[in-house]
Amino acid sequence: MRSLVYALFLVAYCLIIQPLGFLVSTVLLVVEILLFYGARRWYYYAIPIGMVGVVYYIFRILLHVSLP
Amino acid sequence: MQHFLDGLSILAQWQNFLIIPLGLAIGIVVGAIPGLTSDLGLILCIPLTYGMEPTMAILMLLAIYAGGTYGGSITAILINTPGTSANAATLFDGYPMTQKGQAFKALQMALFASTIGGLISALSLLFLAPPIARITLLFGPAEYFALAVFGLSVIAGVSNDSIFKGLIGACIGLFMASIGQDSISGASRFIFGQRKLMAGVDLIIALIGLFAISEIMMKSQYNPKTDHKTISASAITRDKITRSEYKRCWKPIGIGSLIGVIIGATPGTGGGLAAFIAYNQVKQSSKHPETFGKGEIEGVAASESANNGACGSTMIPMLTLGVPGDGSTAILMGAFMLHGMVPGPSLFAQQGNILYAIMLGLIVVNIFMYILGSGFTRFYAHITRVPYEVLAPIVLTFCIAGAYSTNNRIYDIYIILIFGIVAYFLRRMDFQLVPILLGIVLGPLAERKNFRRAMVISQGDLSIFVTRPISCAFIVIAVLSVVIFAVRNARSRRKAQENLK
Repeated sequence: MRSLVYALFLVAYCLIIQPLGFLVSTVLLVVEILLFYGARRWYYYAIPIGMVGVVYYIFRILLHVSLP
Repeated sequence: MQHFLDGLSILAQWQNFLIIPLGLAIGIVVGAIPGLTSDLGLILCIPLTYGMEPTMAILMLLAIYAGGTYGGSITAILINTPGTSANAATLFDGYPMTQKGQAFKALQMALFASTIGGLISALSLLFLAPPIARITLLFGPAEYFALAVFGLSVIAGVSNDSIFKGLIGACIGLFMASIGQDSISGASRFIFGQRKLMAGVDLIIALIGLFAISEIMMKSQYNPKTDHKTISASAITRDKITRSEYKRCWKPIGIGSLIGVIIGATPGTGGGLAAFIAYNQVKQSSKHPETFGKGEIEGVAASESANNGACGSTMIPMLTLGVPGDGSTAILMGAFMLHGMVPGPSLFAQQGNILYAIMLGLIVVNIFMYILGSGFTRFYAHITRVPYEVLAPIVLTFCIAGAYSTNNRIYDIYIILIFGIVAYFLRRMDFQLVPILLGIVLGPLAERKNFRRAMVISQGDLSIFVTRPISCAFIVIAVLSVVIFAVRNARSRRKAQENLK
């Protein structure tokens, strides 16, 4: 049952990435997953959200790929 | 000999000595975290290697593979959960050693045994692969097609409980590989009116979807409150391995490495099986089998030398025949192809210098692994504290970014998410992913490159596959193996039913 919720998150992500772009939609996905697991501490949210930004810039600057 | 020297000079570039420790560090961490396997680490790092030279890229991936196989032992020893499936046999004695307060000793022995196993395996690759490649140079398209069929059927049989599920899995993989425009006739196959599917599904896109996304979904049942096991850093004391312990571990390490090399070179097996066989072998031949399972250092030595012993030798069939033995080598084979090298005998003739650089590099990888591992042993307890709920979104972010960067199109993100969801449900129905993966990797080689070419040679006559002796032999073995697996399955099912009564 829980896996269906997870699948729903992923399908929703497919729908929002085109209009909202990589940064916004991925941050939303990250928060969804953390809430799904019931993470409490603030830095549990800060680290993955920070990583989204890091990944965005790694791909942009080092690999010359600008994510949508 | 010329290739050997050329390879040495390619390897000696300074960038390689930077990328190897980096790959090892990634591999060890990824391998050590339960829920992230070295397969996953390989897949996630392939997009990062696009811009690199082939030698550098492959060396980095090999370092992740070797590091991951060793890294999995860390959590097996510390918290009784193997980091990757190859380390399952390390649990038997690794965790009891931690309970006795000998965690540091166990970790050191795991590192030492992994290094020796890895070195022996790298040497076996270096000395065995080129002569085998010389024999397989005689193969034509018909032989290759038969070989691919043989590889698929054997692996489908070994990796699943049910041969039929394995074969269905292989067919799903073949189907995925056939999506797109056919390169010979130009016909569009299975594109369902979607023009974006004309180019087919990229191998790396399929891999990210099948392995990474489905792996994250498998963990949706994970409950952070009850499933998270940790160990405090103070549990790792500094009790060094004594000289007499090293001395009595030589035999287990020797047996383990040898079994690792042999099992590794057999398609359809892999490090996990090698470790179990080596563990049992060492236990049986030991003078004190009763101490095994209660924290015997020789048990750790046997299983860890075996799984790393398989690391190099699994590349022998992959590089010489183009038949990958397990999941990791299939992914590595995909990486070779992405960098313009199609594994198979012609690779040794055409790009022998790069291959020698890679094979020699594997020796360097293992030496670095020992240095890096012994420096970091004290910090391993912290790896167990990484919470999975934080990792899952990070891995997902990497998957999405990696998929997008392959072709710079959003369409690929849709494909990985949909493949992931489909693969998750297949896994819930007890389908293994390895046959599917092999179907995807071998599909284009078998069909486009070899079946079609053989058809051209024989002018459309299918009998070419059975009239050429080597090709015929492979097909006979393939058919026989399917029959044998099916009979064995039926027998074990009947036995299970009788036991129920």
